[in-house]
Amino acid sequence: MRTTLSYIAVALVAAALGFFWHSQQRGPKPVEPREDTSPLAFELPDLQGQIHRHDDWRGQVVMINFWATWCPPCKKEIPDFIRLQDDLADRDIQVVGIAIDEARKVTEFVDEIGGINYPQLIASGSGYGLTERYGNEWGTLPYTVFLNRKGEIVARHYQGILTYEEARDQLLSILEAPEKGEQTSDKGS
Amino acid sequence: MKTALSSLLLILAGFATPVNANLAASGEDLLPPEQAFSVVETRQDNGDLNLFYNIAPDYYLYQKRLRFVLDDGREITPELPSAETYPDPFEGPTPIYRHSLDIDIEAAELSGSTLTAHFQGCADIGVCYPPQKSTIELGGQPASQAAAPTGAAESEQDRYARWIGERQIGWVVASFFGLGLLLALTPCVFPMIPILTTMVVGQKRGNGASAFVLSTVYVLAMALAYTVAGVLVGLGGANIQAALQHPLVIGTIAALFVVLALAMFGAFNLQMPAAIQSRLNALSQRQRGGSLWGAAVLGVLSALIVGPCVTAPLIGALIYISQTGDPVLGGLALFALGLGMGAPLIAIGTGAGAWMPQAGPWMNAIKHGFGVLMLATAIWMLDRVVPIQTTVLLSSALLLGIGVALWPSRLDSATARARLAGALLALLYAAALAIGALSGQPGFSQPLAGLGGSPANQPEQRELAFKPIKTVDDLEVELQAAAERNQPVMLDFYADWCVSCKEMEHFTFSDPAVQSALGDWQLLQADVTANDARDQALLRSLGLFGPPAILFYLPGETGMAERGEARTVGYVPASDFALHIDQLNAILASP
Repeated sequence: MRTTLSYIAVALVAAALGFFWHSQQRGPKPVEPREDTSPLAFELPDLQGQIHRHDDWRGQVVMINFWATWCPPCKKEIPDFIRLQDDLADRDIQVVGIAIDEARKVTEFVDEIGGINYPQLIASGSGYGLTERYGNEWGTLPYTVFLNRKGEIVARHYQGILTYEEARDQLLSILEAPEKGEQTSDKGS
Repeated sequence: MKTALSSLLLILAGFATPVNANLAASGEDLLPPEQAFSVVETRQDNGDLNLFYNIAPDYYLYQKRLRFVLDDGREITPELPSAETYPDPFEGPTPIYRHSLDIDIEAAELSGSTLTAHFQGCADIGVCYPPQKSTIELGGQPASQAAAPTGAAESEQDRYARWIGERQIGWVVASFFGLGLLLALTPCVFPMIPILTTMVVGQKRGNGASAFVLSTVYVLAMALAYTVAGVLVGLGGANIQAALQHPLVIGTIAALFVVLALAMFGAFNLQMPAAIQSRLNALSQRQRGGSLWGAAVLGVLSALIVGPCVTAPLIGALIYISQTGDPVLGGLALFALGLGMGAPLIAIGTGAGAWMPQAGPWMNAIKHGFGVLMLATAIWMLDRVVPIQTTVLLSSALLLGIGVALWPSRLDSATARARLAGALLALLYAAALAIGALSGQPGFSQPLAGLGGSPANQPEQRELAFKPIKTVDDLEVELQAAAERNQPVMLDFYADWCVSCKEMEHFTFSDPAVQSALGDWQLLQADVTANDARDQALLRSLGLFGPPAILFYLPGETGMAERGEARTVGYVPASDFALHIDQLNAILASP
């Protein structure tokens, strides 16, 4: 009897290990695919009501700045970003603002500072979810991400105000970095 | 001067590092909102509410963004302490609070069931947090103190702790007592008891009262030694809870249990190393029989000199406790185990030895019983990470083993016949389970249900249709959509490694009464098996640490509101759950 039970026990161990290994192959339950499966996807209106998609600027180096009018450090950055967009106008660079705010307040602010030279998109409440998908854990603002020409996030900034110099350096370094499988572009050297 | 200059240069060099360095900091410098601004609510005896905001250094709250709203929509404007002025470049001088904020709200102003405290703040490094809110339950608990990052989250965890306490601790502690008793009846312990009694009580046997006292002291000392082990293991488990959920860890522990079971079946001997045992034995020889101190020391030593029969079950018990991660449960359970083990000794020590059974081969049966128990525990643990079909098949195999082991060699006595009956029952159930599992309808209560195909007996057929969600954003979108449809929402958190989640799926969500009660509900499910950043964000936003949890949202005048008190955490049987839903449906129906 002793040996029988021992054999049974050994068989159970083998079976258990086998099944647990098998279970490892399963992977997590699949989530129902949405229309656009990229977590970075968005479709938002700008101040003129025109809709912009996340891939509108594919092929350019993009800097997306999440902000709101109730966030003083955010407002401090924006004049610098306007200057940045101007200074780098001849490079393949696009600054995009996404305001987690009401269109009315954003329009007021833009008027106050004398206009804006890059798209300002209005996200309202769902904007928090969007910043989270872009890597912002607690929804703090300002939050800025840098995307390469393929639309991949290559850098983030969330520890306070992003200065003109830092943003410029970051954009230039992405411009000049060779993409995988591409030759170094003749721009930006 | 030179060192100061080089330090300065180093600091400046640090500032010149590229922006990418922010990724390396990875949020360590930035606090989560609950830590940057933590709210402690205290209800005084007279019903007044005190809100104490603990603001981290280098963070501040805006005075103008403080709002206190009751659930009927009415806003309270309590007196606010004076604020310091912050020169904001855009807004001008702005009143803010640093370090702490103390607000008192009189009982007279509080009405309704909840108060929501809105606040918003920023960090000096130049980021601002989204608007935060803290929900405070007002329902008639004047003297309760709930210290919490957000009021609602704490009451849920309190409820969880109470629920665990009510349902499980009693059972576990009682079972551990029973196990201790059985351990005392194993072949290596039971025959030793009279000898131990002599050592403890000395030669004063027969003097009832003091013998009782001495035996009790001995047993208590032993039980306390086990308690310490239980608490330590529970604490250790609490710290590695996340790691304990990993399938690899669970598989290893289950395999360990199988090895321990083999020890109980006599494949090998597992005990404290001989060197330690002889040392402890020498110590115990030196104790004077008949003294209280001696009895206590002997008790502790007995706990340490674990012989072959006790070692494996003890290790198993400690592993189980570490899995729960609950030091309180660990302490109580192991204390009960010690008491159970010592009960026969107390009986014999006080001269009630005549009531004790004679030593005999039945003790081996108990030892083997422990082996079976540990195999069953291994299967139960694996259930978390394997499909239910596997669990049923493994259980069937175990029952097969039991049946074979029970089979009597000769049918010559009542005992033998009883064994035959037991063996047949075990084998029949094993067969039923195996057939059921292999036919695609694995189940324990109605294993052969899948064969009949009759509509009345189809436990797995109709599944509840859950809509999967992943992020905080998804939840918001779904809640808004449901609010527009005036539809209640049930949010279920699931993970592959969550036992009660699987039990809910298997037993509760498949029940027709539950399904019909949920007929009008929007059912959402968040699968947090991966436990990635988005899963954690979703859990955190609802004040949860992980599954199991089921939340209920009802549409109201101000949109969807979660009925915090209706949250269920852990397995709820079908009938109770159906009742729970009916109660919520009744609230919906009433004007």
